[in-house]
Amino acid sequence: MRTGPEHNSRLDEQLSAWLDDELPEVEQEFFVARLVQSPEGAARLARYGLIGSCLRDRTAVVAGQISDEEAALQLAGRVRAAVGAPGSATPLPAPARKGRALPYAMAAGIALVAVLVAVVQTPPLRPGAERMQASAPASTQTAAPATLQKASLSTRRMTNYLVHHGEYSGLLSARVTESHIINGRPNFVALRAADASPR
Amino acid sequence: MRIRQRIRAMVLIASTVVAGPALGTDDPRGWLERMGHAVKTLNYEGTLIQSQGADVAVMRIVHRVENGMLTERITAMDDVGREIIRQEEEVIFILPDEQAVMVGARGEKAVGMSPIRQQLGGSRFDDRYYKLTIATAGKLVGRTARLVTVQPTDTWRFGYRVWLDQETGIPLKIQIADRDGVVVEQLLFSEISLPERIPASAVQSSAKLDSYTWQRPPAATGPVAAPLANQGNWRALALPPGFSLKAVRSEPADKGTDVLEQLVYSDGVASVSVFIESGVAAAERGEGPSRMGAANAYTTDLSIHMITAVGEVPLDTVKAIARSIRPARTPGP
Repeated sequence: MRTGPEHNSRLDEQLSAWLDDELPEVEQEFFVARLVQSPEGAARLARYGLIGSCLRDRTAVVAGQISDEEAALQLAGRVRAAVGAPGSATPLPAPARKGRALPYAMAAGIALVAVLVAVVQTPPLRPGAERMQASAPASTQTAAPATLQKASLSTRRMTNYLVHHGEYSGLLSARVTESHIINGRPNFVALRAADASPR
Repeated sequence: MRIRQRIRAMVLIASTVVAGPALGTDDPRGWLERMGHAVKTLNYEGTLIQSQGADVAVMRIVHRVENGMLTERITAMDDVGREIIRQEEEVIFILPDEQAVMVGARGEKAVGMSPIRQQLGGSRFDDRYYKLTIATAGKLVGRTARLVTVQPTDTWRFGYRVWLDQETGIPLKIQIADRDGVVVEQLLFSEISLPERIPASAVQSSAKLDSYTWQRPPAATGPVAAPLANQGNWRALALPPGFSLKAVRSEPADKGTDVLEQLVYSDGVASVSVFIESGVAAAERGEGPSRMGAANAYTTDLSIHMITAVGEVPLDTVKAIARSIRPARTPGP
């Protein structure tokens, strides 16, 4: 496989064009195949996909061309591929040669559903679970949600709790807690769920 | 062949001396210890991506260590621009959308780590609740990585997959997954650099905070040394296996409420904070879950008190803990 500045420059150009849906169809299949086989290419995809798309979407939001939700979904569609590429158990999904927007639109639809059901009604603990024996509860994280339920906590209160919790969170989850605070995750979830009766 | 082995051994030893504990071993605990060492001693800056399902957020992080003192700035790359500024003695959360600044005290200013994180070492990964493995992981952001998997043995807690930079031990990517391996949330660097020096100005906020409302809590009373069972006004009647009380703190609560009490339970890896508030308006109270990514919360009522358990654990865990909280004088089960 070729390496060096010239090769990387060409890869950069193709990546940028591919993310902008401007890569000619005849080049797409070969390009994606090469990308999957190249860790360097995948790493570059992550950088371009995340930063470039984020800035473009934010510009569009500020200009009033798209909503925040649309921007998030557009970005999500692009980034899912990039994020999943390097070192992930999920293989990089190869875009279809024709109509690549359709799978992304489907992903966006799924994303919207995922956001809407982020706060779900969960089944009760199994009988006897309150005793908290070593027999663990049935996992509810992956169970399909039955109904949409409004978040119990207000955005502000949840943020306050996370701030207090953050300094006691574990080494492996501390960054996650912090990212929830500054990315307004509680806002996003709670506002959607609690719009009808703001706390 | 013998010469090659000898050279490999010498490189291994030299690397260990330079980079901290456990380099070059295939001991996952050693690699996690090394990660803890790396984040306390190395400068780094980069772009961090958080994803949960299809929802993605981008953050810029500057992590500075100068004379053993850790300072840090994390900025959301969105049109709100929330920030976390970690300073010598406190952590400042800047929330431009609320025109507010929330200040949290740092548990251990000397090394910039929380009390629980300080306790974390190899011995904190209890074999009864977590199984650790290590594997090679190819390259991430152009850097060779090792993958440490922390697999829970039950569904009271999440598991973790951590991609560590082989050269430095810096975590390049972290996934939180349920027991079935389904990723609940992940963080990864899309680019990272490790400069020799980072100027102090790089970890200072550019926001003008004069007009912001500051919420500054009094000094925390925790962490409290063991035994903790009889301390504080509240206790859990029962806890999931492996969890025990690690800290208790109490402070004036949010506007309109009387006091906020916090109990912190941990199994050494995951932690759950229980918040107890009195004086919360009835309209704000009620039983049920909240969730954002891997962080679950469950709220319940007990007389005039609102009790909420929050943590990066499955919903059933925060629910069970929240429902188990009683006044300390309550007879045990």
